[in-house]
Amino acid sequence: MPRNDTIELGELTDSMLYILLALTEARHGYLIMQFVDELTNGRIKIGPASMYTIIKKLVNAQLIEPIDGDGKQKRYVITAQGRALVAEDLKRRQAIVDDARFILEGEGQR
Amino acid sequence: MKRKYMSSWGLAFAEEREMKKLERMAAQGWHLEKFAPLGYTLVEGEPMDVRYSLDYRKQPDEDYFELFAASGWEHVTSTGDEIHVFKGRPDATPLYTDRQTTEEKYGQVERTMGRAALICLLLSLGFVFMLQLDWPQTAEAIILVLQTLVVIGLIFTGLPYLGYLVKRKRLERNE
Repeated sequence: MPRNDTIELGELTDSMLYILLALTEARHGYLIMQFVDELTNGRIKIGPASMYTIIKKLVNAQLIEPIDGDGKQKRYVITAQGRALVAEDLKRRQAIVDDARFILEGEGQR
Repeated sequence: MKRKYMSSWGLAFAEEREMKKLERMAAQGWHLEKFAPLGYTLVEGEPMDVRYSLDYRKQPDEDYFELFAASGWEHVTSTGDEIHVFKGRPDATPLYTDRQTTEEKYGQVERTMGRAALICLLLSLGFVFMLQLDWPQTAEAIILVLQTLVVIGLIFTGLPYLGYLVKRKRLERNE
């Protein structure tokens, strides 16, 4: 089952990035939703079907992994590979912000 | 308890329209109970302001339904262990909140229908070819019956396939 789908995954969507951030601590699906809602003051909401789809995908790409627990719902936590991809994605997003600032305000660090 | 039947045009074509209609029925006190052949069975109860929404998922695990329940979406009924209908409060977060996963919702069922339709198409072409040959009368009758069944199968897979295809293309274009 474990195969490397990271390339197939392409760029991280906003929802994926927020889910990965939430999983820097072990959480189950619903707690991830609450975490993202609180972190973004309700700006980003993730519905249960989107959540379930993305969790499956991130597990397949080995960016997160389920952890054994006694709770009813399965909990997940980010992997080293997941952290690396988040760091890479942040660089990409930062570059976009820098480019935009450079044009609009002339204050980007180029 | 009184029950009533509500017909369906097929989820591939009328999902949104029929979920809205189910909501109007619920407001009048008729609640979705289960799928019926080519439609839904509604059961009488208290009028309620609810939202209906459906998801395609092959053999989901328990976590799936628990996640939906925790987010305010109560599981109502399923068919074929693949199509699941949920009932939620008007203020519940929608099942799908981003574009990529919404497209995938339809992509998977589109592929399944497409494969089934292709098989039916090939079979019916095969029967057309077979009927060109000389057969004893009974054999020919059997082939004709099989041919008819396969064509019916083709209609019930081919049309939904096209419906999902159009839906996905529309999603890709706007939004």
